[in-house]
Amino acid sequence: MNRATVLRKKLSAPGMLIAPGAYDGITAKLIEQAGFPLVYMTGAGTSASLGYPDYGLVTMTEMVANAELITRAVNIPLISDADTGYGNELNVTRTVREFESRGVAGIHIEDQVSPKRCGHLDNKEIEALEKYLSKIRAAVAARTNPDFLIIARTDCRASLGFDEAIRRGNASLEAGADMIFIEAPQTMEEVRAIPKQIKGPCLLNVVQGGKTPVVHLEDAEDMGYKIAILPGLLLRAAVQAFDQALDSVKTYHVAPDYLNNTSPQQNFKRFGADEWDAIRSKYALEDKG
Amino acid sequence: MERPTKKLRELLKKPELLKAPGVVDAIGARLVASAGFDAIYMTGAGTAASRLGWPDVGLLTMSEMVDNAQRIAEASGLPLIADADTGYGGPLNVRRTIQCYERAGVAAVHIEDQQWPKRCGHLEGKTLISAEQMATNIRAACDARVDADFMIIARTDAIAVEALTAHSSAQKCMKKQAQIWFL
Repeated sequence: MNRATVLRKKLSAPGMLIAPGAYDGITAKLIEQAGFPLVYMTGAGTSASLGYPDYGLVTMTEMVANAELITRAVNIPLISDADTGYGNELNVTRTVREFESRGVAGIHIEDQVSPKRCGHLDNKEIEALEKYLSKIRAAVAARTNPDFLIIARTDCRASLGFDEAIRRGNASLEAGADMIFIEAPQTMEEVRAIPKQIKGPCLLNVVQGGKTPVVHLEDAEDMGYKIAILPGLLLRAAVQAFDQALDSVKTYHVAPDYLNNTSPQQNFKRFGADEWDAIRSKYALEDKG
Repeated sequence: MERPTKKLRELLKKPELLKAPGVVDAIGARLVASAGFDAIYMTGAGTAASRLGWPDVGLLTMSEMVDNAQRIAEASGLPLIADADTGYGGPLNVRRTIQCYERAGVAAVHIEDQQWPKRCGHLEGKTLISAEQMATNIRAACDARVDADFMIIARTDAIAVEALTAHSSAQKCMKKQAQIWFL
């Protein structure tokens, strides 16, 4: 079954889907193996893996290539960051076609002026609502599978206020968006109010150290959110683990002992060694004929 | 082999007009080279038509343009002047754009003062960035190159939009070290 359709089925069940953020095949596979129903592709993580900050430097081509790599690494549906849709309604049309044809199940498109900035940074510039809504309409019209999820994200909380964010969310639903992502609410009251005031499904962005207070995921589910994404979870964990390992080598001139608990082959098993070994055996037998 | 950037600078010292036919792929690149031209141009409009089958309304990404430019530079062996549209954003994007084009073996790029997504220079409905923003982009472009012979061509689309103010915009850019005007 098409993974956009799989995602719709999961969303039609009660409860909230938790989607940690991946930025490559390793993170995607670990998220799937940990049993999460959904994977999210983080633009900040994708930028970082290319060696850039999340300042709108990465092109749509690079984002789509990374999304395709992630969809191929796992069998669960992928929701991807698609920034501003990379331009006007024509660019958005192309962006939706590119992501959809790569097997991505849904994307979010935001109302920042391009080049965008991470949602939890200051000085974001916001697009006029009419211009943004025409992009949402273009995105909805561009998908070939009606199950492909179009998530409208507004970044206007910081500059235009909470009420405008709600207004933009509801206007986006009327323009055809399937789900609303209000970026960077500033208090727990706002986090709680979003699913009440938005007249459709809502996505919660859980950013460590960002502008939104820490929300327990069971509380988020009770508030009525349908998806919670944790974009930076694994990137931050990786950076800390990498720094620790590097530091250990610099200090003690030997790899840290806790890394010796698994053999190379055990590590390969996390990344499909059994599957590939089965293929190897199959053709080895046929050779012997 | 002589650096294509240096070669282009030498060609420009000659009194006659340098002719650079525009191509969209390696086939065209080979033909231009075998016809004996000294330089070659990569057209963004043609690249959009060739790679997407779509018009020149800013649908190609910087990644796609650089990828195409790299093939043309290699197949032609000639100094390549490449369309780099608006530089694909603000000064940070322009910096990355120049780094990518330079690494692809391009000898020169032109960067224009349209709002992104841009439109073909000969279409209606173009909107411009301010002369100050353009000058900042040009400064960022000049600072980004590693090879000082890599040429930055400042293009202004202002004639259609603001008639003769094109001149003042171009002058601002010249002060910021752009080497050639494209009006």
